Amino acid sequence: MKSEAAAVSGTARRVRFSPRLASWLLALALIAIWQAAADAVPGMTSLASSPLLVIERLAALAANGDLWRNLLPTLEETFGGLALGLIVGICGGVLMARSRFAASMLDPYVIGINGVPRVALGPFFVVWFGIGILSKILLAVSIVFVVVLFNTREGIESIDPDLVDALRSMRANQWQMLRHVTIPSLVPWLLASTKIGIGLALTGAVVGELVGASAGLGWYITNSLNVIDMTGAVTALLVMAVVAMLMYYAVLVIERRLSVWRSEAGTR
Amino acid sequence: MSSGTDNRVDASRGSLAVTGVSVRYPQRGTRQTSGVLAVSDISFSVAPGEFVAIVGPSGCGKSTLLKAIAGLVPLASGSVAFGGGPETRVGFVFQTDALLPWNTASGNIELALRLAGAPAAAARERAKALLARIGLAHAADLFPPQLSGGMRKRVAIARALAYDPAIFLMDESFSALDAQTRIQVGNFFLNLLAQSQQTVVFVTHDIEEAVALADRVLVMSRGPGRIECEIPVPLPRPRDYHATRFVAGFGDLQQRVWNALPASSEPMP
Repeated sequence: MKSEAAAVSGTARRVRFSPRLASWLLALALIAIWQAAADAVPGMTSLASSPLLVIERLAALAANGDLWRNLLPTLEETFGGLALGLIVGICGGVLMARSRFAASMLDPYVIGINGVPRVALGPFFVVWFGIGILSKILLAVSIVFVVVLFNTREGIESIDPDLVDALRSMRANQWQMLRHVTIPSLVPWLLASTKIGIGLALTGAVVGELVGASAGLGWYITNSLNVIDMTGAVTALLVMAVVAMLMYYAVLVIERRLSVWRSEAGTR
Repeated sequence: MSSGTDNRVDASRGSLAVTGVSVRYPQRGTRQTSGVLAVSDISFSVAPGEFVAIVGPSGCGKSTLLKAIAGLVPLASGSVAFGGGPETRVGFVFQTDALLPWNTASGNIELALRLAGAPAAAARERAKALLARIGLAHAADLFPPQLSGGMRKRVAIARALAYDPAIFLMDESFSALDAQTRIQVGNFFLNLLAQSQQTVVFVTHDIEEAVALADRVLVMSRGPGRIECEIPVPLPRPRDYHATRFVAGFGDLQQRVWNALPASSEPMP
C-alpha cells in the first residue's frame, strides 16, 4: 500500500526553462530585427515604425494620460463584453442542454448567428446604440456568447452520468447536485471559453471603436492612421496584445487554482 | 414470511421486496415511461443480511433493474419496498468508481455523510476513521486520479458504507478491475460484510463471481428480462473471493447456473 501511494504521488516534474527562455529570446530577436530594418531601410519607420519610437511614444502617452484615457474604455468594453457574453452563453447553453424543445427551436438561430461574421454588425451596432461603449460591449457579446453557449452545452451533455446517479443514490437534492456535480464539471469548459472569449471580446471592442468612437485603442489606431502616424497605431496595437496576454495569463492562474485535482494527477 | 406491516422496523431492516416490477427504457425527449420494455414483471425478496447475486446475458436489463431498485430509474409497474421504510438509504457501488474527481478521497466520503445529514466536523472524523479502517489513511488528501484503480474502488465502497446503508446495491462493481486487484478488493469487501452484515444485491455477468459471493443466485432471461430461476448456494462462510472456487460443490453450482442461463444468441466465430 505504501508503495502504491509512493508511485502515484511521486509525479516527476521536469524543469523546463528552455522553452520559456527560447520564447523570450525569440521576442528579443524579433525586436532587434525590427529595429535593424527600421535603421537600415529608408522610409521604413513610416511603414512600420520602430521599437525605439514605440517605447518613446508609450512613455509620452503614459506621461500625458492619453494611454489611460484610451486604454480604459477598451478595457471596459472588453470586460463588459466578456462578462455579459459569458452570462448570455451560459444561460443559453444550460437552456439548450436541458430542454430538447428549446434546443430544436433555437439551433437554427445559433448556427445562423455563428455563421454571420459578427464584425460586419459593427456599423449597425454603432448606428443603433451610439458611439459610446454600449455598442462595443454588445458587439463583443454577439461574438463571445456563441462560443460560450456551445461549450456550456457540450459540458453539460458530457457530465458523467455515474456521478449524477451516485449523488442521486445518496439522496442529493437539486442544489446539491448543482454544487457538487454540475458546476465542477462545467469549470474546465467555462475556463476554455473564457480563454477564447478574451481575444474575441477584444476584437469586438476594437472593431466597434474602428467603426465609430471618441476614445479607445481602436479609435486611437484610426485617428493615428488618419494623420499617417504609424508609431501611434503600432503602439496601440502592441498595447492590445499585452492586454490580451495579461488577461489570458490571469485565467491560467485561476485555472491552476481551480483544477488542483487535475494538475497534480497529470505529468504537467 | 414477509409481513405487510411496516411497524416493526428494526427487525426487517435490510430486507427487500421487489414485486411485479417492470421498467421501460425512457423514450428520448419525454418523461413518459412508454419506451421499450427493459425488465418485465420481476418479483423476488431478500432477507436481511442475505447476499443475492443476479446474473443474466448482456442486455437482459439486470443493471436497469438494480437502478430501478435504487430509485434511479422510474418503475413502469410494480413496487420496491425496503424493510425499515421508504427512508432506508442504499449504498450503490457502480462499475466505475463514480468518485467526484474534484474531491479528495476523504472529501468524497465526507460528502456522502454530509448528504446523509452529518455535521461537517463529525463527517470529517468518520471519514478519517473509515479511511484508516480500509488501510488508506495515507491517501485521505489525494484526489481520485492520483489513486490506483483498486484504491479508488475501496474508497467507493467506503463511501457507500459511510452512512451505514441497510443494503448494498452493486452493479458489476468489480468487473473493471484487473484480475489480481479484483481478488484483493473482493476479499476486502467480503471482510467488511462479515463485520457489518449488510444485505447485498450484486449484479454481475460473471457466473463464478456470483457463485463465490452469493447465498442465492437469480438467473435472468434475455431482455426484456424476467427471473428464470433461482439457485441457492449453500457453500460455507466465511468465503474467500478466489479460494472458494476450489471448494467441493462449487463446480456443480457453477454448472447449474450456466445451464440455467439462456443460450447465447451471438454466433461463435
